[in-house]
Amino acid sequence: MEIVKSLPRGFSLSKLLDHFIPAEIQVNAESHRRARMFMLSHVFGPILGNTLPLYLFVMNISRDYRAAVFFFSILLFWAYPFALRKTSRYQLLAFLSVQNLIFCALWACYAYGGVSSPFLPWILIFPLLAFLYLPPQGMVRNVLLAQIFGSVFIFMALCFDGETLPYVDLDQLQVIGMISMASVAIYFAMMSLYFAKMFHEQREFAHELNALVSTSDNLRNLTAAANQASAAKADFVAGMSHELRTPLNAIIGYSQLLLEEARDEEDEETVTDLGHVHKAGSALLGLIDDILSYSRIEAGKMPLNPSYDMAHSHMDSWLRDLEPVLASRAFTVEVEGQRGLDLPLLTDWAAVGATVKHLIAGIVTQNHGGRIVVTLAPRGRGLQWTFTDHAPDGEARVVAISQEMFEHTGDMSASKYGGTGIEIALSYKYAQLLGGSIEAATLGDGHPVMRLFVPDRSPSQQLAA
Amino acid sequence: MTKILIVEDNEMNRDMLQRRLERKGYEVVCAVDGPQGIAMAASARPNLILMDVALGDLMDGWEATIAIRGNPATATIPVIALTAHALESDRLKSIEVGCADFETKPVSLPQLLEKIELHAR
Repeated sequence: MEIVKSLPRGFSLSKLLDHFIPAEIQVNAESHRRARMFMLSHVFGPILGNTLPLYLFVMNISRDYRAAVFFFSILLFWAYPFALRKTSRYQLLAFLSVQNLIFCALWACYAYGGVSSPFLPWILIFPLLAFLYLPPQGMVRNVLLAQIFGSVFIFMALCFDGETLPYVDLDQLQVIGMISMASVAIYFAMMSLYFAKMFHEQREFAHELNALVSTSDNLRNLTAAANQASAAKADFVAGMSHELRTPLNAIIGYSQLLLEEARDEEDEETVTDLGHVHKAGSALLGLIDDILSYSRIEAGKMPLNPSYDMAHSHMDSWLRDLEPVLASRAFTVEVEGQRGLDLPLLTDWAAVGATVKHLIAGIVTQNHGGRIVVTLAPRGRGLQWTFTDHAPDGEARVVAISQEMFEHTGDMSASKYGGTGIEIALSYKYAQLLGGSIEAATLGDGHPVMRLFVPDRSPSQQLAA
Repeated sequence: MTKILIVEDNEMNRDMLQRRLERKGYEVVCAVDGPQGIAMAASARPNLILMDVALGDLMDGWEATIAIRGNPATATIPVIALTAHALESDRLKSIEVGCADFETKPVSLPQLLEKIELHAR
């Protein structure tokens, strides 16, 4: 009793049916549904069907080969579930099962009354059952219809062409005739309900599909509107930045000019004051540039220009650019990891530089005095930069940055720039633009780290990814 | 003495750059828009042109550079483009239209002087 043994605990009809259905058929919902209907008919059909030959036998109406053929042809249906489990050939077995059904019904008609047989109404269920198991389309449909009508035609020909039918007392078949008619009526009612339910579900599905299409259209329109708004915002920010930059350029330029003149005249007091003006103007210009870059990335207006190169070629230049901010905060930067420095990578190195510089600037901005160790190492299909912060209170700062910027990146308003600095937010945006990522963590020894991953954009790596 | 033509529509930027370069010993002439810049490149025959990219409605700095490059009399004068943004696309466009170099505003005078010395004929 293989079935009982391997059935899972907590019996259910679905589990019993699925026990015979191979996994590859269960993968497809439509095939699985058809296979379940097939199993349902074949597991319980013979129990109900064989009541007819058993009735004929018990009531002493037919205790000969006719009832035996009828009985065993029905019993044969139990072989199909096992055959399906063994072979997985659903279509072939469904096709054979339809032949089996045609034979059972036509044999009963032939053996018990010909065209007057009480089993004649069963002919009606041939197409219903056939197209319940198999798709009603293509070659399968044509072959099935030809076979059903061909078989019925042959049966009719046998009945009307003088072929001697086995003798049967039709009066004795009145009760079984009523049972047979009632069974066919019940079966038809069940099938009608089943198909009606299918039509209803199909209508509901079409209705839901229309609603989804409508919702999808609305979402597309809203997305287009949002994109337009985003582009308009980017244009506004770009325009504003330009308007701000022009007078700021004049302030910075004139302060430089006056500084040069004051230095020539050795007027130290004026040099100091003008130095403050120049420094403040430069800081403001940097902030405007950062906001403009952030806005351009958000609006998708920052194109990438990838090229093959190594971090080694750029690192010194980037650190030189950072010298003023590092000096003002009394920070030093150490670079480690020769393999990472020498790793050739196809990426936008200008954007990588912007990411690295803003990340370091963001780390040092909130503190005074410390050391950052930058470690480069190959990771997967790209390069990982680890920035270990050895500054006092570094951990608290990185946690704050992490919470403020990374958990709420969708809600970065201008008011937040004053909190932890735009540098980290902008480096995060640059990393996204490069297809990479930034994460904050704390090492086992308590030192906070920020990790930047920059992927290789070469076609082979993209294909592999 | 090296003669430099500044093509810049913003009066303050023009005045500031002119004064800073003159303090460094250069002879400086100025044009306020593209057409005037093209004309002065031919008439003043500078050793180098500093060309602002955003020159207003008449003509931008890249168009003016193309016109200067197209005139045999001025085709060899090196042009350094001055742009507001340090974008790679701006740098590539500048090189594409025939600029010898590219500098972002506000200009870093030591850096600009290096480029002037490198390119001035």
